[in-house]
Amino acid sequence: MSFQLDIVFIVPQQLSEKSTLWYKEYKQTFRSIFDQVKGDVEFSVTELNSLDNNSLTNKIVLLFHFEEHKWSNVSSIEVLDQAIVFFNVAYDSDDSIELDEFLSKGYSFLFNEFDIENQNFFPKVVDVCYGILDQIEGHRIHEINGGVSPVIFLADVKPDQEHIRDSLKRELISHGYVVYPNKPVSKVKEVLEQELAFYLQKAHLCIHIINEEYDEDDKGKVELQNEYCKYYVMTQNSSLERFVWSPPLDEFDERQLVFIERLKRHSKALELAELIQTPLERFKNIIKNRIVKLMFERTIPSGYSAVLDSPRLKVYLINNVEDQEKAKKLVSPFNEAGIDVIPSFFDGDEVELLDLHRFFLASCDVALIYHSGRNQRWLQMKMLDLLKAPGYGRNRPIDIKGVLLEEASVKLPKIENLDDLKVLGKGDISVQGLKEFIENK
Amino acid sequence: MEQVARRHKATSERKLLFNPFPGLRPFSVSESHLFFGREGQSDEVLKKLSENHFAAVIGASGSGKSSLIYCGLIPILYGGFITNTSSSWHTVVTRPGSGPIDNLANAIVASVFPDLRGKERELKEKITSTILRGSSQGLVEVLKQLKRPKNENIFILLDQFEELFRFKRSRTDKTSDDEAAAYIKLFVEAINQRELPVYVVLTMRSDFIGDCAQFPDLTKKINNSHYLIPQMTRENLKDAITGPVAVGGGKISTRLVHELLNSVGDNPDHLPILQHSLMRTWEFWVKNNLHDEAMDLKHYDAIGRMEKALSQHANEAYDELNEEEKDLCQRVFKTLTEKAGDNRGIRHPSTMQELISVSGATHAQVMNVIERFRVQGRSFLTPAQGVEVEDRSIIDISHESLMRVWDRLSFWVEEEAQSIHMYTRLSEAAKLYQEGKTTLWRPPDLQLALNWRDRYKPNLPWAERFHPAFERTMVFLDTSSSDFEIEEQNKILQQKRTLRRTRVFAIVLGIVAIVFLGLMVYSMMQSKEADKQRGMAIEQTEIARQNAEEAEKQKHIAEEKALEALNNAKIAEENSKRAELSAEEAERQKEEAERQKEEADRQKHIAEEKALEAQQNAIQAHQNAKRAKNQQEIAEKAKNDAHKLRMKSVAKTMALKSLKIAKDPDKKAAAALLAYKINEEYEGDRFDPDIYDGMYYAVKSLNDKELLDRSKVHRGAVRSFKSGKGNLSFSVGMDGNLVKWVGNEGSVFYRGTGSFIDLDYNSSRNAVAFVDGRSSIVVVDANDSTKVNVISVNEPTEVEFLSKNEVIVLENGAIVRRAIDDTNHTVLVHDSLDVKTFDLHSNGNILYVTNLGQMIVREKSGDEKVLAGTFKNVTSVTLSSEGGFAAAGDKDGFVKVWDLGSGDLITSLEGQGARVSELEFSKDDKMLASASFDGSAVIWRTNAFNNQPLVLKDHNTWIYTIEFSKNSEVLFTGARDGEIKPWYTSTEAMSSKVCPHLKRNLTQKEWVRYAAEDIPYQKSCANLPEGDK
Repeated sequence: MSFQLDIVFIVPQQLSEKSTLWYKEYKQTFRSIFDQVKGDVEFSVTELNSLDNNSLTNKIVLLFHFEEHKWSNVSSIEVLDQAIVFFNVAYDSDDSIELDEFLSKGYSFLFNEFDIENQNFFPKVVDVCYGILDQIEGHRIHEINGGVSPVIFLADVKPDQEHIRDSLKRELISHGYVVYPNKPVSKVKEVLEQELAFYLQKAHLCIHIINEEYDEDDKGKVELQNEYCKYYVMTQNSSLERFVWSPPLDEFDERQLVFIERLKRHSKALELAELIQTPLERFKNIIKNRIVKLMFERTIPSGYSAVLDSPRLKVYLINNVEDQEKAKKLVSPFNEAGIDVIPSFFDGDEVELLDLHRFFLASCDVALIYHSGRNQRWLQMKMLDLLKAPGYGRNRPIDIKGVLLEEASVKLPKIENLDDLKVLGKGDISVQGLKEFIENK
Repeated sequence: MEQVARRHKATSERKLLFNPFPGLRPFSVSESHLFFGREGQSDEVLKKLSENHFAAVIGASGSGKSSLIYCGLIPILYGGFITNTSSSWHTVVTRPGSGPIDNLANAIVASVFPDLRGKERELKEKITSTILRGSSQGLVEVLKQLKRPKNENIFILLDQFEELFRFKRSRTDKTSDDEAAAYIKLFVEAINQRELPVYVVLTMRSDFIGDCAQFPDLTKKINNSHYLIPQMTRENLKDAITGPVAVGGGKISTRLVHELLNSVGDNPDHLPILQHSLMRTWEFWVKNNLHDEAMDLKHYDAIGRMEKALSQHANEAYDELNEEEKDLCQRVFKTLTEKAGDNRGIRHPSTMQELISVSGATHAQVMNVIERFRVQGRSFLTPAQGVEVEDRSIIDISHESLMRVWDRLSFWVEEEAQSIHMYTRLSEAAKLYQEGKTTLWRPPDLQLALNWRDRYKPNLPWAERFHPAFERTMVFLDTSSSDFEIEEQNKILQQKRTLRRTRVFAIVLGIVAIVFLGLMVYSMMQSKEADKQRGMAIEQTEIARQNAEEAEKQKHIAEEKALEALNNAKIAEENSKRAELSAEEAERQKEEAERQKEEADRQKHIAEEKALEAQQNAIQAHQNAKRAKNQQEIAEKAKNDAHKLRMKSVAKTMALKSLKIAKDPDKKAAAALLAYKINEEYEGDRFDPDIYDGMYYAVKSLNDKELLDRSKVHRGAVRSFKSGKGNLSFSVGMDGNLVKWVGNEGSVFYRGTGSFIDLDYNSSRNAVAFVDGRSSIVVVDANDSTKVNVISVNEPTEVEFLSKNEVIVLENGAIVRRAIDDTNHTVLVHDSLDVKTFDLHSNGNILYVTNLGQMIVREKSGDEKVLAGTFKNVTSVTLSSEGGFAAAGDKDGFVKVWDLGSGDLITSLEGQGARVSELEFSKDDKMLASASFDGSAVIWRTNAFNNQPLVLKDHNTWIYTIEFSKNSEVLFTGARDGEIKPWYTSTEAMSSKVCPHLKRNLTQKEWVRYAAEDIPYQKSCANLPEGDK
């Protein structure tokens, strides 16, 4: 299905001869390139020289800004509501208050700086064309996802890192993720913090791109963003994951080596953040995997959720499928004694079962192995599982590890470093006895 | 509340248990609780096995197939996680080896009767093997006959299944084909039936997957159920670090986890090294953990980090040995390793007997060395500590990564490979010699071979592994050596004669020199004597004159007396008659007169003698005066020389002083120009570095446009700069930009996404080629940046055009010729030499340097010439334009120069203080320039390497690249901050730039200050007034 797109160029009147020539060439180049890369997008280009036009809604707007002709009325552009604006600047602009105000209105922006003296703007026009298509694609996928997409805060960067950010942003957008900030952030600290708070509130993940230019003593927007995000995680959202990406070390670049070492050992920049030094493509994979993990929701079998949410003591009762019926008999008496039981689960896919087993080992307070004495190798594996449980993400040891033996004659396999395993029952498993044992522990 | 309190108690009781990292050795089944990070992978295999009763686990060498099965799959299998069957398992583990069916039979018998030994066991194995060979149902039959409990499943692991194909390849008989096919059928039938609960897993190296295609049934099974082991993700690796730490009861800081993750990166080879580093970090942390802190960077740093931990640990073991044992250790490890065809170090498991034979040591001595490397916590060698080692026991290194990481072993592997290479070359030569197809060896090959024999002392057991004719080879070497010695002795005799002649000549020269010295001393004495003689001569002349006057006077008196006597005689004669009485008186008067006359004659004679003496004294005085004049001339010349020296010194001082003038560019330039002019006038060194510096900064202070920095177009380091046609030039940098320069104006011509690091220009094609990141060479048309060719290359570092259509690329230690259209390539120098850098001459010769520091010139014809000596850690090499010199620079800033004709080292230069980043000869070969990370570039004159070079030091950061202009008048340097600077290569060129910009000359006062009061004032520029007028 094709997509209809109206591209509107807004350019001031009465440009100088030099700027007029530049604009003419830019326009021609843009048409040629966009025509080549557009895919199934049908497009038309119109030109306006005024912003006082109310027909701009839902358009792609390319707004041109020249040094000689500053937009004095940009702050009144209310008509651009919902439009995606590509802001083309033909000079190195950072002095216009009107522009700052305009940019802070929250439109979806691509911001391109051109040096009018340098006619070789071909690569930048290519960037703009692909940027437009990325925006459209992102919107499409976002709509396909029903408007629910992971939100990534990809911090704004210094000009020399823009190409990296753009590459990462495109990758994320192409997967339907929402990427913030979608416009250059303010350089005024107070305004910047407000903007960041807005983005971080929505974000699932937070990414910063830094290199050896990072300077904790002379803070620019990169440093301020990192600092504020750290503060935000510390005070507002401790679960928001922060990644700091820095290019892999160049063996000849001593300055970079020194910077990274200082960053790792003495800097506060990495607090509550994970420094990742990999090639960019691998970093993209890491982020994608991380997002998949973040969005993953484990399916808990019916009846288990209540137990897991309960504040009562939780006993994970591990048994062999052959002993399922015997083990089940212990559940009710335990419940009656005020102890919740997570019984072993045998229905469903093997991968899900293993995932649940590890999850229960990580969540329970007490783990008891019910053993009928038939399969010593099975028992050995379960005992090793008890030893392995801390590695599944437990933040404290299992309170009690025990083996309930159906027969007194059964000998336990020898396992090193499992001295705290208790042998219970020994042919006479009584719930009351267990309850007393647990409570006295 | 009680429960909460208990939890807290439990937390506080958390205690340190044990080191959960096995180091280099693989995990055992009983350590599955320490095996983290591959949970998802073993779960997937389990699922496939459950669904299909079969799973093929495929992966690259060293990807952890066996660990995944033993520590991932088997524990969950035994743990009862296949839901549709029981949790009881009977396991058979087998490897095909060289007799797959017999090995299977043996494995089945061993699984059922583990304690059975001797003939009874052999019998059971024979019976089982016979049943297996009976039909394709043989395995099912045998399994049915197993006396196993009801509901027990059968799990068969075919480990290292690729042995089936390796075994087939190594056998030529038809039976091996049949046996392999029969073996596969046995399994396929066992998997296809459902009467027995049989589950089969095979593990196989992925490079053998193609061999499976010849067995359609097996292919079908693999297609239905296989698992290709993926690389561990960052999350997996994190689990592999934090999981065991938690199980072991330890703590690890987040930043150490991140550091380890970043260090491991993408390289799966780093996994065992990571395990080892963690084991060592844990040990160190336990020993030094005084404040209950988590394992952190400082503990990790202390064990040498991943980069050095393994090497440090292995060196600890090595250092415990005495000198004799160290030598033995080297031999043992060299026997246990080898270099594969692809130049990778691989393991070479050997029997104990083999080690004993090769090393020439006793069992006890070899064992002593082995024990040091397999003690608890080291496990560099297998079998593990405690396992008895017999002569037929196989000794192996525990992981191949040891070869790459242990610096000493890595060196030994390389050394051994070269030793083997030398032996095989020598053996081949010996064979050809025996066949009459070649001659005896001559140096340098002979010398290298003799050095090799002296150093490595090869013996028969060692040599037999590589070539059987050891004796013949050694005889060939001895014969070559003795033949050459005789030749040499003759040469020495001749040389001795020549030497003797030379000595005599030297002695004669010495004597002549001494004589001249004596003459000089004598001349000086004579000069003094002459002065004295001149004084005396003047005195003598005066005396002579007085004597002559006296003599003249006496003569005159005598004549008067004679006349008087004559008159008196006449009177007496006239008066004789008249005065006979006066006769006696007259006679007496006559006698008196005669006496007077005699006296006068005598006086005259004396006067004549005095006159002669005076005349001689006058001649002597004249000669002395002449000699004195010569001496005066010499003294005059010496005075002039001294003046020249003084003026040159004044020029240098003035140049140095000009450097310190900061605020007045006119004064600075006037002083520097005067320094130059005075230096020229008094014939100072035209290459004087001080004069150059003075002039450089003077011209710079006058804002001479030709000397100004080029506009900074690059946003990162400039990595390479090359001149193109006319005033065009190109540069590439870390910012991923190719910049095209027209004169001093540059603009981004082509933009990439990575970093560009090396560049070359070809005028025939009018294009540039450069290295883009780590994966490609990009060739861009110099007129049209859209005309681009991209050549995919693995890890390229340098590129140069060979011709219009071909480039030479240094990639992964190899030198490769590649077509620009990427259609073909030829390896010119194999990566086994691990080439560090190279330079291509326009005549097609290539100079390159190997990892071991050998400097080699590869001629276009393919012939190679090794330059004298070795030079390690070389970072840049270059060939001179005329081809007379080769130069190389190293990481410490040393530069060496060779004569290409003789291959001899001409000189070693010390001009740079840090890594030499690039070297280049000027187009006329008169200059050699080097750039360095110390921020300077240095220019030497090739006809006077020992003279002080020009040091160009106006960059404040590392210089990466240099390039002479076509006429060699300018040197361009590109630096890390993106700056490209042009430098005049002669002071003369700069001198003409001053006057057009200068506003005034020095004032008289300034002249006195910068020159001297007694030296007449000079103008810097004749057309300008004096400074204060």
